[in-house]
Amino acid sequence: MSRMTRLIALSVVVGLLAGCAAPVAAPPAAQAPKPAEADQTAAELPPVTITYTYGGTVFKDVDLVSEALSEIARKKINATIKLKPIDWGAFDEKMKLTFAAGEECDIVFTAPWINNFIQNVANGNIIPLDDLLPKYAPGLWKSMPESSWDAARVGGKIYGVLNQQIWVKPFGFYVRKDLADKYKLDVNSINKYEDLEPFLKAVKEGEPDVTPLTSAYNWMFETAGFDPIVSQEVPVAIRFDDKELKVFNAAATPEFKASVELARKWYLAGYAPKDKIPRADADAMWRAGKFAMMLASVVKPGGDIEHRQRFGQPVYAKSVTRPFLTTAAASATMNAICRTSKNPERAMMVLELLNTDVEFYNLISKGIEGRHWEWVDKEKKIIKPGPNNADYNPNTDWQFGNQFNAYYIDPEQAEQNVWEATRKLNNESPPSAALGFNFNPDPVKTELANVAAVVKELQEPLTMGMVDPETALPEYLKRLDEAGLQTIIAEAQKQLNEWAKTK
Amino acid sequence: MIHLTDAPRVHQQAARLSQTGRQRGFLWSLRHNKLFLLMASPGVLLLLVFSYLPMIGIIIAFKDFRANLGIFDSPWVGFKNFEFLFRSPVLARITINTLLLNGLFIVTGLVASVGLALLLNEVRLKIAARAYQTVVFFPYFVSWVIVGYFSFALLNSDNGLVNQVLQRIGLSPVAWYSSPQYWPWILTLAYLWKSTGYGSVIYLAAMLGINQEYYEAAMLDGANKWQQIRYITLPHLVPVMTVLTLLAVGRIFFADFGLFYYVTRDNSLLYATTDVIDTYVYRALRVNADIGMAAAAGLYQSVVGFVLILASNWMVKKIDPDRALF
Repeated sequence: MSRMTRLIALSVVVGLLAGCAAPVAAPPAAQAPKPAEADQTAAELPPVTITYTYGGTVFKDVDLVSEALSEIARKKINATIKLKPIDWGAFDEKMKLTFAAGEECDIVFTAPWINNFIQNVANGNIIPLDDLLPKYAPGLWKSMPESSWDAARVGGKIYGVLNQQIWVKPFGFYVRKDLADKYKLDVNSINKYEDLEPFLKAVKEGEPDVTPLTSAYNWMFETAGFDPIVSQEVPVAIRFDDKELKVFNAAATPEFKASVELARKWYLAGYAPKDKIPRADADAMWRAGKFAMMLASVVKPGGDIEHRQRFGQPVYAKSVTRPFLTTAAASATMNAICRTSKNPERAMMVLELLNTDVEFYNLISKGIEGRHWEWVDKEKKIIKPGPNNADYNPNTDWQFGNQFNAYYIDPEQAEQNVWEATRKLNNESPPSAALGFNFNPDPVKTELANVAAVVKELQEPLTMGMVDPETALPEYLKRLDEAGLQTIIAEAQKQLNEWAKTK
Repeated sequence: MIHLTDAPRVHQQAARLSQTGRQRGFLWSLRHNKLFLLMASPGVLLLLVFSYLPMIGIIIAFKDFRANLGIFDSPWVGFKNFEFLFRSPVLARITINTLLLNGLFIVTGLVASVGLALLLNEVRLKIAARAYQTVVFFPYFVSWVIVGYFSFALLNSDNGLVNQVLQRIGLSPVAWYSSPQYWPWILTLAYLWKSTGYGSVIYLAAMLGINQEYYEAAMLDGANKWQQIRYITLPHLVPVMTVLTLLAVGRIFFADFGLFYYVTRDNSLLYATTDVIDTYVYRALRVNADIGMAAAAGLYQSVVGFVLILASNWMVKKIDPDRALF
């Protein structure tokens, strides 16, 4: 799932469940270790309880899952696990109160979008993990390239354990299989959008009921090789491989100009709808077969399967982007250790289990075998919902640890070995020169607000080809400067230079 | 409603009361009016809890709000939160759009609601009157999101109904969603379609309060329908019209977000005539949601609304003191 779909799913869940969460039942008290069962290391450790606070529905069976996790954890590291899910709607607020009150906690979920990671580091709510990681979680430490850990670094220190999932954004296109075959489009021969022109022309002429494109919009920072260091909504970027870290106005680049000119050309040629169609409507029309192709979408491993399942149209997919790792994508979901934790070492060992122990990880993310899920194919690691699935079904694999250890729910994804392909894509993608840099928007809040408004107003019609770039692009650049874009660029450059010094 | 001829008496009474109140002290008046005070207390309490207590939140507009510090401990920043609005390059556009469009809505809304109420009032067949009333009232319950879809079905360039009709009668189609000049009228139409029924119900209720004897007397004197409306119905409606209009003026700086966002489909090509303060604030603060800045925009709208309501009340008072709100 892309981050966006996940957020949508999340908001649906939050919407459905806000306010009707049951209180967490008291977990069983830490039991004395059973030396006969426990291995040597575990026996040497004093028994402790480690809490894990995260966002999600408070399911009926959460204490059963806690107990099942504890059974494994007691044997391996003599720790009892206490899960503390907090309803998404209340999570942010509750964590602020927990930290403000200095309440004890061990492991917490943190991200740039909820329970804010940077703020937690700034307020000293979570501790640096540099020493703990290699010592108490060697498997986790080695599970990804060392450069990837930069995404979780603040001031040179690692504060969060990155959950592995799709980290890069290989933007490209999805095209209907029947039409691609009919008009002999070989998607593997397409390396840039311009190459699609003959196909679009053929569809336009040959299929009166089909609009070739959902939209002529094809602009993406990543496709141009730009890292949008401030926000996806503001055209301030660096080139991902620029070691000099020169910040510039992305809208004033030849790449942007070429993109909007292409959009204009295709819009005028009638390859796209005349009016802007909101996303939800475009999806419905896609499902009904009104379009042939969708541009500027993330083409990840298994993306074509997900796409087909969602829209019922078999598709081919191809990326036209050379993906790279950015801070925002790689640090999208993390777990951290609280300042107030009495047992940070043991908490790190639990994080090791969450990220390397397949059984442990699937227990927390899918529930108990036979109760919440059942095997379809044990060898290929495919499961299906069990009889009591409704009592524990968090559906947030990406929150608990390394998603590449998750059991497949979808046989087709298993067939393609999607996790392995994703891991490979992550690890092979070069890091952005600004990986680990987080922009602090506070000094330029006013400018950001006004620039964002200008972007929404003028960039949208430009990138969709609805206005002539000849006149609209200079106007856009002028309005961006009026709204204070240069101030943001200067501030970003200043922060980036300071960050580079501490790196 | 207090009958007009009662007004002087009420004034005298009030004057007497305040006089004796002054003479005998606050406690006496408290005891003397305890039954009235008791009766008013639930309303006053609700007002305090829901309208006055939250006003403390106004200070957020002057603070760099940090959730972990809370409202009171967040640092003061003076007028910094207002900067984004006042330094916005499109401040003039959004202000003018907000005032003009809302002004248009108030004027046309008043005329349409009163007109519709007059028409409905003349329908003598009970069952028909009820049916009409329900039909015109219904759009009030339709969400703007749905209205947005209706208007898209009518106006879109690829296969919209309006353009098809235009072509059928030999006119050239219009690219509605990229022609901002038509939108003040399209929005007004949408607004009237949705709110006229609701507004007319209030005027209808006021009409029911008019003593039928006036009409009987007028008919005896040979007044026709138009004269009855002109000289009896309308004058009786003026107090209600004044109150509703004054209240509407107080909200003139607040745009109906749903109308401007969904009916235009947030189409940036239409911003020239449809971008209002609320949609701008939404667009500007989406990237970097800042509670302080949002509160500042809200406070600015409230203050201007307050000033406008004082000014219009003052004007009403000048023209006819009895009609003023306060």
